[in-house]
Amino acid sequence: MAYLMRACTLGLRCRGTSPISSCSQRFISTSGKNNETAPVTAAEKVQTSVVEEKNWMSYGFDFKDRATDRNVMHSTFFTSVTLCLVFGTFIFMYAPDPALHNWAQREAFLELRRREQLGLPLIDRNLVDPAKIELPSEEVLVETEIVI
Amino acid sequence: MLKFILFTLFLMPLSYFSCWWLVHFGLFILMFLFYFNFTSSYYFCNMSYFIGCDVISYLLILLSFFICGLMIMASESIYRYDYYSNLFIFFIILLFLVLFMSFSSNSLILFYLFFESSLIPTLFLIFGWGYQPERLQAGMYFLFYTLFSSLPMLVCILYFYNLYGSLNFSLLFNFDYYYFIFYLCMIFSFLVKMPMFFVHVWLPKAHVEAPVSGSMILAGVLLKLGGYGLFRVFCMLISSGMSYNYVWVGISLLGGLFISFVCMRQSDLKSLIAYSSVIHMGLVLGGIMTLNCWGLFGALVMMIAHGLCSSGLFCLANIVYERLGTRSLFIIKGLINFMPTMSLWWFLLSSYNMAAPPSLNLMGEIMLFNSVVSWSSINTFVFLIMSFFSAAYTLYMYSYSQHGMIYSGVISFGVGYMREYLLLFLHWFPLNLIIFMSGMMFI
Repeated sequence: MAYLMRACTLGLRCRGTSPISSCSQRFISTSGKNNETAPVTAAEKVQTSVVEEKNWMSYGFDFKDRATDRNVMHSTFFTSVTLCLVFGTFIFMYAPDPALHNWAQREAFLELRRREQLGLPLIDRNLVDPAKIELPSEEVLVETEIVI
Repeated sequence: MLKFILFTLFLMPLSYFSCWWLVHFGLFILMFLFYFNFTSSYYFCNMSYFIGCDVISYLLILLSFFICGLMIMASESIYRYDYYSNLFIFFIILLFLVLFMSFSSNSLILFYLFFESSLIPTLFLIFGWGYQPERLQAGMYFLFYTLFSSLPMLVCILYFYNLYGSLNFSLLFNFDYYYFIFYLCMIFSFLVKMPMFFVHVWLPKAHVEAPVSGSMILAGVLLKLGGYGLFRVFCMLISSGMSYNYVWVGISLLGGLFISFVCMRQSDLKSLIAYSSVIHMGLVLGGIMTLNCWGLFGALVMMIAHGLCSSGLFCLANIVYERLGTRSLFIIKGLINFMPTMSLWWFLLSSYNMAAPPSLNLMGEIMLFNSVVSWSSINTFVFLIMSFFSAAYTLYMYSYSQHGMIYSGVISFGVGYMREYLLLFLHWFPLNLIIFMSGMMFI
């Protein structure tokens, strides 16, 4: 591969279009290649995975056993993020009318329509008809302390 | 509801089979299952024999689940060095069970029982896994402040039961008892727990000397027990409250103001975060005491927000402590040079602590501001200065710990593990999410 690249570069340089630089031409000499590049064998793959096992970085959950560390990481993320945050948000967002706010608004509009039809004021100063309220007599009120 | 209690009860023997991560896994699974108990009404739902939940209970139980799970994740060094890890897990599960019961109990005496019971596992956490010898005094302060203040409450509860015949929360609001001593004894325990300014001394000691898990549960959930208790008990104290609450509003807001000045002078990182908790809880207390709608809702929002934010800051302080071995701001400096990604989390959690948008803390503070200012205009200035200094000491904490030259005595330390980043993410992310579901808090 390296030989091929040098051959192409040499060819381009002969034609005057060097990929290296148009300002100056440099001739770099390297040592002869002796088929140093070789495909990775199975034995070498096993060696690197053993190195990975020995020098593994912990996620902070367990420092002795890599498998436990990874398992705990996965379970913690699943329970805390997926279940509690994501699914929890879903449950809260799609919960049916929390605190009955939508129901209260619907009832308010129905009440407004009823009052319009009957010709009553839409907002009345008195919640209850004052004629129906029975106030305690003066004798009872004299003793009671009024707190404002 | 019973299934959660039984699940938690049976997690306890599991702690003796070296099942650290299994318990952690189980807590999060249980939290997910608890989502289906969704309640957003002021009356009790999911009733069992003596337990149920309404919206306040529901949110605080969810918070307890979350913080207990994160406590286990944060205390991984106990698992790593096997420092009585089985007993540690046992105490965490026990504490969680007690908190679950206290938030879900239907009756005042049962609430009181579990309120007191939460002291024991927390005390063991502080004594057993704390770092300095000062933890002994801190534990004593923590235990005896709460015990001393709650004994009058026990007497009042028993007297009230004798008088009225029931202690069920659903029946309490029919009764309006107007006696000052009764009012004072009922709320004093919660004022100490919150804590209010004059009775706050236990908090900086206990939070600082506790291990990271102890600090997280104290700041995250145990302070909210006080707020929750006030929510429950004020049903029958409204007349007295309207007469005398101005005292507590004044003390808590002004106290928060003075504590924010104290915060600017702190050189101990955990102490700074602990005093910051006093300030936020002072705001919450001021909001509850006004007895406005906005005050009560703002208090609930702020309790959730502060629980997550303060717990996250304690996690950050522990991450640094594990590396540098100190809590002093003279040594914890220039961290951005070595751990820039952790600086991101410092920034995010610090900015949320000072109620920067789009956090849930901002929403809580705005609601509490509306509440206390509508109650009295003078509170505008108090709140203004308190908010300003809240930003000031948080910036002070962030810039002193992150910016500048790294301490010259540091040779090297590792950047954050994924566990630590996940821990901080799980503290920070819900603060953004919960705003979208804040409608369910306005009952």
